[in-house]
Amino acid sequence: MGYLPRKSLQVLGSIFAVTTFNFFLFHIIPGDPLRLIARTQKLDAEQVAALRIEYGLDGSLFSQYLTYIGNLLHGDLGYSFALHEQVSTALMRALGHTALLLATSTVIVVLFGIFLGVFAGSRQGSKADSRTIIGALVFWSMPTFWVGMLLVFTFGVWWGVLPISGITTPNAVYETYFSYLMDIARHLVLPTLTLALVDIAFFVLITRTSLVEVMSEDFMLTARGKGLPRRTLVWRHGVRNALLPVMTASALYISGLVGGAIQVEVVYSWPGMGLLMYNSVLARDYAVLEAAFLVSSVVVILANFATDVLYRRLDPRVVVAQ
Amino acid sequence: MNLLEVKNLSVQYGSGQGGVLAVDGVDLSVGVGEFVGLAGESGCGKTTLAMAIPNLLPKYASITTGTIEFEGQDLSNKSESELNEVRWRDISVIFQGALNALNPVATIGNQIAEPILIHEPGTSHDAAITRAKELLEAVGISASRSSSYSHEFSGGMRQRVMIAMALACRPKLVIADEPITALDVMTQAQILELLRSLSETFNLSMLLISHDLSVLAETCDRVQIMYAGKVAEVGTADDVFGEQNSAHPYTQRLLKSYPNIHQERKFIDGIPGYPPDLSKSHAGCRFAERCTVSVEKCFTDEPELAVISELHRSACHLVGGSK
Ligand SMILES: Nc1ncnc2c1ncn2[C@@H]1O[C@H](COP(=O)(O)OP(=O)(O)OP(=O)(O)O)[C@@H](O)[C@H]1O
Ligand SMILES: [Mg+2]
Repeated sequence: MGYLPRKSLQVLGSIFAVTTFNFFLFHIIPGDPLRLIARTQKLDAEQVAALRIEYGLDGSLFSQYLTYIGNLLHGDLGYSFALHEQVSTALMRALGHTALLLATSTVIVVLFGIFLGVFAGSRQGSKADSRTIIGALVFWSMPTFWVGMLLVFTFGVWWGVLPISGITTPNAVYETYFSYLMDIARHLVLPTLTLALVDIAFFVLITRTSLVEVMSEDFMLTARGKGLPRRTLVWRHGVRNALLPVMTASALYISGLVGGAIQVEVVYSWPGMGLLMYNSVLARDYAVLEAAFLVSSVVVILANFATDVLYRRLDPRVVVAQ
Repeated sequence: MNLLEVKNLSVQYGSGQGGVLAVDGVDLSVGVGEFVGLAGESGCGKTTLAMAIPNLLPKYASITTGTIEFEGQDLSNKSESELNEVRWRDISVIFQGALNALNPVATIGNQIAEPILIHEPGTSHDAAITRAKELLEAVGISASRSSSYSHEFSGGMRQRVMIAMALACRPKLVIADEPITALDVMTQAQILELLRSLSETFNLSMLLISHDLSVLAETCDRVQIMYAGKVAEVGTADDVFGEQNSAHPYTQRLLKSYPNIHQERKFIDGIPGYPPDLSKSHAGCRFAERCTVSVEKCFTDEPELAVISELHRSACHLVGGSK
């Protein structure tokens, strides 16, 4: 079997395993979902019994599991009584918002991180190198929510130049589609900046370490012996090899963020996955939490899959090892 | 005028107390089209001397004295970007231990073509690749392998790729640091033959470092023997290796400890003891302690390189040594 089909099967297998685990996790923990619904909805015993049948909660755990898988295959993740809408609808919306935030901040974090890492790593031991490391570590050690609040106060409250909450201005009327996009972009600035400031160190340090290691390899001496200009030497031979571990780190970073931009989303009321999960925990909205966990796991699996495929494109040695 | 004229060169790794003076006041010359061999025990400074020429020494190494004249220009005080003009276009290097000398993520065709594209601007990528393929063929590797990666080659093939790469810009001087050590005898002979024929076609000069004294004797016009960072003896291959000619006890012992395939292999003729610690300073001859013919003077006075015949020099108080 070819690499891609085999790997895809593995991915499907992992997703199935995660789905199953996720289901039993949520059904083993104490708490009857119907009692939660009843608490918020003022239902009488008859209605509860009807709902129990409707949601397949009357059968054994295993038959419930089969119902769950069946619904899942139809894209039905259940209904959230806390949100008064289908879980899938709420989830898709949140996922879209998170994707926008993550895509922007990841591009910035990875690109600037690599650039600064190369800047420092190719000057190993110099003042510029140690200053970059120290700078990165200082930001790295700041709590995300604290940096967020700092930026909120500075840019939002103090100078009042940037919006500090939500994804669009409430009740705004947009003349053109472009002004709508600009509004979103303005809302995006502070959350992105917060993520970037704190997380950039991760990429700076990994890139730097990796490059320093590569620079001492024998083939770098060959490249130097060829009389390559320094920039070609560093980028074509050094960075190209140093990026392999950075790529793995990027996949880790992205998958970690999908459910984990919680602090930033809460500080800026960014209506993404993090905020959704945060609110669902407060509301004990198991249906949403269960689905959100599932989606996060699937994203992690897919991100790893993408890394594997990319790695094979970047590192010719991997193909042989297969 | 010689192509390369190194005078009184000293190279130190590190500085101060822990510094290692790996090359200490060494002269070396290579004429146009000349093959010069460099031999001596492991750790005597051959690689250091060779790498100092295009200044490919690590950052913490420094040239403390001397000049390196290449075509009349002193390379020892040139900037990195000035050196880049000379590197590979005029002086290329076959690195010792070529196993990891190739970039793992670039095809070998591109790696051979790279210096051509850098040093001969205006060459198209296709033309450079074509030349890379010709070079591969010349070292006995099929041109179709030019799109392979280094991990797909055996150790000996990588060594040959390295040799092809070193010839890419038709340099004037090739510094070959044990270029054929990893190869079988047949391939060794082929490569040496190739290098010799190239030297005739392109007037190529070579500094050949090898532990294989018979290879040096066969291939080189002149040979220089180093011991503990100093030149022990230098002369034509015949001066240095000839039965009755070698004028330094160290060379004589080196020749004796070299296994002769016509005789039974013996190890008893190795040289007892070790070369001295290069991080300390020395009085007298550095070989004195291991020398079987040393006299009192050897431990107190450092011998100068004395003229024996036209090209033959030896740094021994007992010039002529013990025959
Ligand atoms: N990078 C380095 N840092 C510190 N000391 C070094 C370094 N490279 C070599 N030396 C020291 O310099 C001396 C000469 O080493 P060099 O590599 O030039 O020897 P060599 O004659 O090429 O030996 P071999 O035959 O084993 O290749 C040795 O004492 C070695 O320990
Ligand atoms: Mg060496």
